[in-house]
Amino acid sequence: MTLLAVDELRVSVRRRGTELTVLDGVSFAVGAGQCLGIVGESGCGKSLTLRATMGLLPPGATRTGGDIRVGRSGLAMVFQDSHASLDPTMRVGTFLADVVRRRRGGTRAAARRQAAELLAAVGVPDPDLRLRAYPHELSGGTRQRVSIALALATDPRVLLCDEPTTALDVTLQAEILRLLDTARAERGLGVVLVSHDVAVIRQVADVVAVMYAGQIVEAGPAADVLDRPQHPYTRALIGAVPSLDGPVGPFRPIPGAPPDPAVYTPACRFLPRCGHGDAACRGPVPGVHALDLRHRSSCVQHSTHHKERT
Amino acid sequence: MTAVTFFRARFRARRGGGRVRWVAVTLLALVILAAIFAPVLSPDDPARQTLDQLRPPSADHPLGTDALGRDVLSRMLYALRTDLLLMVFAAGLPMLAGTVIGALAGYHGGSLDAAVRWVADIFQALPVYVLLIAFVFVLGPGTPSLLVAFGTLGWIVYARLIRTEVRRVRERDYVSASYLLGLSHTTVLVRHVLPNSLRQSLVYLTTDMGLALQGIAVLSFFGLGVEAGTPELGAMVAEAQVLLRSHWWLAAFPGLMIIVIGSSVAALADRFNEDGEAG
Repeated sequence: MTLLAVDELRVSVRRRGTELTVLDGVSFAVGAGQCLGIVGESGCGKSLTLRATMGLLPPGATRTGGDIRVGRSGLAMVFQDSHASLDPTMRVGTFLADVVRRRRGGTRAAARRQAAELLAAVGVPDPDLRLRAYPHELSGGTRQRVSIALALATDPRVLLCDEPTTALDVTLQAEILRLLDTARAERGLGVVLVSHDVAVIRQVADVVAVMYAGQIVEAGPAADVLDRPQHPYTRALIGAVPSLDGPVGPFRPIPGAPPDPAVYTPACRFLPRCGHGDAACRGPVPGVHALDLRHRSSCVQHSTHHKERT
Repeated sequence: MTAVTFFRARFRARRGGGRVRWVAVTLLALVILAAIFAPVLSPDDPARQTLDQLRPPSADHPLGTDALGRDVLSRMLYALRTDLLLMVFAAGLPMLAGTVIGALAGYHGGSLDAAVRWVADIFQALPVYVLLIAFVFVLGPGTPSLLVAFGTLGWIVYARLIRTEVRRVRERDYVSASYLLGLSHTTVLVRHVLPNSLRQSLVYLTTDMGLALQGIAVLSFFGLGVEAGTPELGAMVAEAQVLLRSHWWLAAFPGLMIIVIGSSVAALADRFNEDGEAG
């Protein structure tokens, strides 16, 4: 069952008087109990996709197209930096109880009890004590758990997670990812997880969408995309991560940097950094969506596409 | 002493300015206590006129008597009550008004914001004291018109400060988060945006209280302050002005008190400001 479907999402920002399209036809869907991982370099539009889906565009950015099908109350978001997403002047318990009360009604005392239960459910030890703490008094891991508890307090159908573990160390990262996994399994929650970290995506995602320069360039089941990548960008992204089991070699960073939105073209946007381009790459490339479980890539060099197109 | 150690010592003195703060707090506390316990501490009724006029300080009248034979110490103690209360309200009411206006303008933006900025620009272009005097002149002297005058002119700075802070805080993740978590605009504004936008205004409030005290004293000095006869420090200085050469104590002690309160508040404001910058 599809809980969230985003169709042909387009977002543009104004810069020095010109409209720049920074998200260009992004489509994806999440079903109950499913985890969609969106992976890509910084600045490729991953976070913006989440924020646009949530209706939370930064000033200057506008949604110029696309269709988002979900009840707004059905979405909740976990931010990257729990330090910034919790009010520094308010005890976390007050915040949590406010949200619970707003959502479920009842008395203050009842809301507070539920807040404690929520904290316990996300694995915060000694929840009654933590409820009285201010965000800066909590460790990074606990703070992120609190943000997750806050998001879960609204009984969402889909949880949007914007790099939820980037600010944490590896041990905590694994715990938070497990926590998201549990919530997904127990509540039948759909999860959209944005990360630049291929390892994180590999750990939790069922479906992967690879974003580059404001577009999805490859999508499909996680195992297919990560183990048999079709798009050279995906291959480069995976190749840039040193493997624990593989031979020890030099890092293989992707040369160059992602293009500026001002020079986005209908042609392949990865071409300047790709080693395998030819004339066909300069023509329009096919759009890729993550609306179903088929493995697709926008690379015209890839054989399946050649077959499909001819 | 090398330049480095010199600056280090200076820096330490600045950071550890605890002594200044301690003195300021003690002085203010004494002044406030004196105001609270004025009825107990006063040797005489501040309004009682006697034929014992213009006496120098003595055992009966520690600070002497004024031209109407009233005990100066008693009048000064009661004047503290008037001035401290006026000071708090003359700075507090504008802050309240400015906070509400600035918060609404900053949070909602748009035409309300533009209107507020327009009015603020106009007011800020005009000289404060001239406007204060004009206001009180039109409304007639007395405590209410004083407060109206301060309120009408004082909110602008707070509105500007709060507006800017609110616009900054509004874009924070926790504000977006609260909104997304289903809290209403009012809740988000009052519970999350405002508490995070107040610090600069609070720093300014302490400065403003000192300015308000001076403003009240100045207006009373010109006879535009509190009702005639009310014990008030500025008015006391004004009344004593003609007698300054022969009866210095009449002006000296109330004047000294204005300086003590004003500088204590200013010292505290300074410390607040430094703490704010450090934190």
